[in-house]
Amino acid sequence: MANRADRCGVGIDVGGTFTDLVLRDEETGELSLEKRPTTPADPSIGTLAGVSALLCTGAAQRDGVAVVRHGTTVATNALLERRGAVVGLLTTAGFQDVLEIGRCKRTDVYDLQWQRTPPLVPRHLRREVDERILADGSVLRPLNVEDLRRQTALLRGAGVTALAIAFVNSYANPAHERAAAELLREIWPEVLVSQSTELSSELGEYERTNLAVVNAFLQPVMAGYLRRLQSGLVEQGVRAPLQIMQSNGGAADVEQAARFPARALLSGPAAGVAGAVQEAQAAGIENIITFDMGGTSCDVSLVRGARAETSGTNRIGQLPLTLPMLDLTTIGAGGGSIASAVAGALKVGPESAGASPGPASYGQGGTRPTVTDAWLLTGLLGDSSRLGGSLRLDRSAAVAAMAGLANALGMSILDAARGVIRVVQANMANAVRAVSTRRGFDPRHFTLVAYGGAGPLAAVEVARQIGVPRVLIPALPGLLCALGALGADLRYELRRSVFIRLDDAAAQMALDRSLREVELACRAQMPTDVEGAEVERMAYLRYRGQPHALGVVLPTETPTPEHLRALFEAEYAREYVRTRPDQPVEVRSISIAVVKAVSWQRRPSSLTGVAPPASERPVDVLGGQIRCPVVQRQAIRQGAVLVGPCLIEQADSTTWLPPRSQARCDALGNLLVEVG
Amino acid sequence: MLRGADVSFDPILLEVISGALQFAADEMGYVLGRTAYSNVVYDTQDFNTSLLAPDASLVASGSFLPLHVGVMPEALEHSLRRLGAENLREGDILISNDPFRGGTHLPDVMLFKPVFDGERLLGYAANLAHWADVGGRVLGGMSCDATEMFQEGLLISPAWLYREGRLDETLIRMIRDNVRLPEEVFGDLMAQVAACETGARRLRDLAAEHGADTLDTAMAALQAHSERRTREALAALPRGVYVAEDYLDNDGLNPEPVRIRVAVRTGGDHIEVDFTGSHPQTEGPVNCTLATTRSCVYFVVHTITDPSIPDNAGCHRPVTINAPEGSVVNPRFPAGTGPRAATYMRVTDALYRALAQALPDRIPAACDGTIVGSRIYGRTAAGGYFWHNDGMVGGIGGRPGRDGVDGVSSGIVNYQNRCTEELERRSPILVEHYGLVPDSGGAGQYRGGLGIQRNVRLLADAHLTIRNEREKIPAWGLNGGKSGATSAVLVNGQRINPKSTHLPLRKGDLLTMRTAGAGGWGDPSCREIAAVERDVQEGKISPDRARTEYGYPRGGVNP
Repeated sequence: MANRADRCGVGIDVGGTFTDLVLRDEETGELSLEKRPTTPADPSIGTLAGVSALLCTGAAQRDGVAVVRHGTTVATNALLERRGAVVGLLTTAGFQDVLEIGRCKRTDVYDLQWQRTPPLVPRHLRREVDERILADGSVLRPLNVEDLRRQTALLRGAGVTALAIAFVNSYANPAHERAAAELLREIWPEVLVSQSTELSSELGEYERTNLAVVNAFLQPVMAGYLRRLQSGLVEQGVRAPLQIMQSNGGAADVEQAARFPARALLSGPAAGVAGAVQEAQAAGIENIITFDMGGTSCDVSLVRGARAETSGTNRIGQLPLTLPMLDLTTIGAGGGSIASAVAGALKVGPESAGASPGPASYGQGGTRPTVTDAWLLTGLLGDSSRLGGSLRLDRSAAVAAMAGLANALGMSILDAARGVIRVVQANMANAVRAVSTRRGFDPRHFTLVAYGGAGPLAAVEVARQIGVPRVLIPALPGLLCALGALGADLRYELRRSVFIRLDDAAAQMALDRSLREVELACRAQMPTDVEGAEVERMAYLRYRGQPHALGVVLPTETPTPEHLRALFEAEYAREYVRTRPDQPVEVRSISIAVVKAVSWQRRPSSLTGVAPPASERPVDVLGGQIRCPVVQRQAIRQGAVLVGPCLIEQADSTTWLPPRSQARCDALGNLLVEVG
Repeated sequence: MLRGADVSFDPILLEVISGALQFAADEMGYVLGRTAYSNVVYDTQDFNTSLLAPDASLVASGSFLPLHVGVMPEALEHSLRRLGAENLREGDILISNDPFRGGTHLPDVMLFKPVFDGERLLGYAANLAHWADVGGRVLGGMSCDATEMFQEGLLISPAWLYREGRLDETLIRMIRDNVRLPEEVFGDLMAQVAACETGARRLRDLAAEHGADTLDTAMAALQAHSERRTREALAALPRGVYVAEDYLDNDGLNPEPVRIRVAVRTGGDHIEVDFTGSHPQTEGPVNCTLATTRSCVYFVVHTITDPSIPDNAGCHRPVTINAPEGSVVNPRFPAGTGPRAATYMRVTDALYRALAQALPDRIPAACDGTIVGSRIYGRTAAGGYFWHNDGMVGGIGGRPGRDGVDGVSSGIVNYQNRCTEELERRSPILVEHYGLVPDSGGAGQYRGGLGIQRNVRLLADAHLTIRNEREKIPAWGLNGGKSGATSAVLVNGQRINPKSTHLPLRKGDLLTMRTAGAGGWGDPSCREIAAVERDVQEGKISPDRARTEYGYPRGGVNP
């Protein structure tokens, strides 16, 4: 298959400030890169300009591009900024307010001014339809078609541009939702319809209603963006399929992405996790903790057996998204996080100087001390570390900003800078604990994969604090999201509530039947040309009566109930220590992922070019100044060993090897750091 | 050990250890919430966790139900007095639900695990969870007509649950034999044990990392940090004595209202709260124990100082509380305390009403002031129990510059509602309606939040125990804002006593539960026309109400 026509892939990551693009020739492993300012009003403009430049400078012919893969924050930003469709909601009679009431919980109990984010659909556009299904799936009241027509006409008259359907108990029987959706397409063909059970078949009317509404709200935005992007690519002569990163860590084809934008809300960070998994796998490492530190936040997730953990409990703002999404823990700790003195304690973040004004040392008007300023003052960053030396950092501005903090704390400027670093590291260590030790995982069995512009600067110390023995720094840590998108698998995933007691005589049959049904439903959403896809199956189990279920990966051969119980209890013991052997176990839900793996030949991803010579600079982060060697990443050859203290600079990132640590460059250009 | 506002400590290490302690307290809650068996714990999320210093003072509290935060230190002190701190050993866990030894009411069961590093006591890992049943007259342990604690269920006075790592099987058997839902209760208890063990592990990790001496000093410094910040915020309050009253409709047995009176004295870096003049302890079981009353005061103070201050004993030291013994806010043994939720909410209502005089630009009008706690239960064919429990909430009051919030937990509670699909799967009921109550929010320039109504059709014969409040005395408005609508409980359209105990219901009956609406803030005639129009369009207020309360359309022209 490796003819010239499908030799190259393009990976794109649209970040808050920059759009990164990579073109990889999969035969030679050669990379071309392009960095463009993001165009927030319409990100397709910056992206297309980047693609154009990439194809001019890159070795590839336009028709040599086999695939374009893309991580995007279009959906997330549209939701946060509330730019979307005028949505009408059709719901079961008696449940108009489910969307607004939600789960009644405040996200802050002490704030007297706390507000609920206004619902995406105002009350008068939430219309009740006469129908009712019971908890066992039986029909109490049939769908009243006349009522449905009446309510739809009302919404149409009110200027609605997208419809969401969410009926009570549809998880147990989606017939009414389906019938309603079909009728709507008949009587109003041009409207976009989102049906709750197409997104999730899990119990919880609020969570499903919210999903359908979020999806409907985002559809026009996402569909429009993808249309512009695709036609722009075609204009440039790129006819390769466009695929979009999904929150579950895989990619989906463009039609699916346009239809289910709710599944792309973590598209950006998911590309990074996918990249980390790919790098680790290529290096022969299965169990990793991903550590993505950028300007405003730090995202952490845990990957076992090369499979990123997904959870159904993520939130965007106040909105819960019960979809299979990467289980990311995000904290407000990045290079731009602001440090302050509060009554004798040094606090860092979550407030961030962001891209504008940015850290004080960016010289763009920032006056408050940030983590980046602390790195500069301790020598971890050099004056010319930013963006490969194309921008110089302003030391005097960093000193001025840090002086205020130092005064307030009664310490020297250097001590304050060191303190900022120590506190932000402790915060990040807690985030890593949240995904690992809190859930019973032994950090000694994991490797931290550090990326994002700032990840490699903080990772080794964080790993040391938690007891993670090894850190992997990919060849291009600042571009891992674009690379990760490029190498991601196609992945379609569905989850459904089931209630199967393992001690029930019919358990095996019920389980087999449910697995088959969900797989069929999942395949029905896939493009037809996906051959040779593999199926990943998970069961979520709990002791009967418990609320939370734990996920167990099912072997190819569906296990017997006894075997399944044993698998569950092993997970339970890991997470909560003590099992309850006397208690019955039930399957709470199952999920099916149909996965089409990408079969690119793995080559080292590294940049070529002439490296500036090694140098040294003073570093004082631990107390006591040292002369620290500064090595250029491009100059490091396979098999080279570097001993901390040592700084390694490259255009997209800086790596800090503290004393006692030691790094070796592997065949793929990764740095494998023994924390020591 | 040093205690007080003058503890000086490395500001960097302080933040590092403070973050780790907060993380540990939340981690305990994570374990407890996810391994619990009863939906009171996992769905309603009626629990909290804390870490305490060797002197039993609060060091860090979990981010769960705030009501429980201030209770645990007091209950631990009582437990230590009873059992003798010198008798504690590695592997011990103490248990108590004693309302008159720092507890709240019988269903709230607390566990305390002393954490040792060799011989040295590092502190305590503690938690409180509301059990699904504690025996007594009705399932759930909250009958509205009990006149003494003994009718309400099983008292577990401070005792060892574990002694040097060994579970007291006799105690467990005694508990299991005395409750209707032994599996749920034992499951929750084990979840509480797991949470204690998690907290203990983290405390030991911290001692290993920083040294036990440093950890000890850091705890004191953290408390001093919170104390300093609390005092600074309190010193900024206008000096004065602010007096207010609020009322419960009744105590469930006697018709007259139950008064909560509070005088708040500010000026200087502290605050004094005096409940003298509050109603004597009631015959009906709505008494709010001293620990609960204190917890309410601490909560309110935290909301008016600075919510970002780490919640620990330092926040409490500048607060002086006088609650006369034998009053409804400090009852004597063996007063009934089961369904006292509205009482602690009324304590916070009265406090805010007083503080509104000092801080007119910050304090909201009264919230719904209710948790409509209901239990519908009966026997299954197999001989066990089916049971449905629900804790319904209303809304937040109108605020200076901002409307209240419709249909949400308010004040000191942060309950999660029960989802209809889960309720219908577990119990023989059909939820026919769950929604906001139009016109229930108090009118005002900034409207009060709407209440919630749930209509439930019984699909089997069952019994109902329910408590509702603000059925007679509504949630007050502020600064010219109007009161919210009152609450109601109805069966087949007929009002019933909103504090009903073990009321028989028949298959086919329709139970309607409605929470009160919250009060409005400011003169309704000053409300922006656009806001009135939006409310009318959304059906949150009726055209009638728009006319009578807001004079809409203004100028008398129909839109």
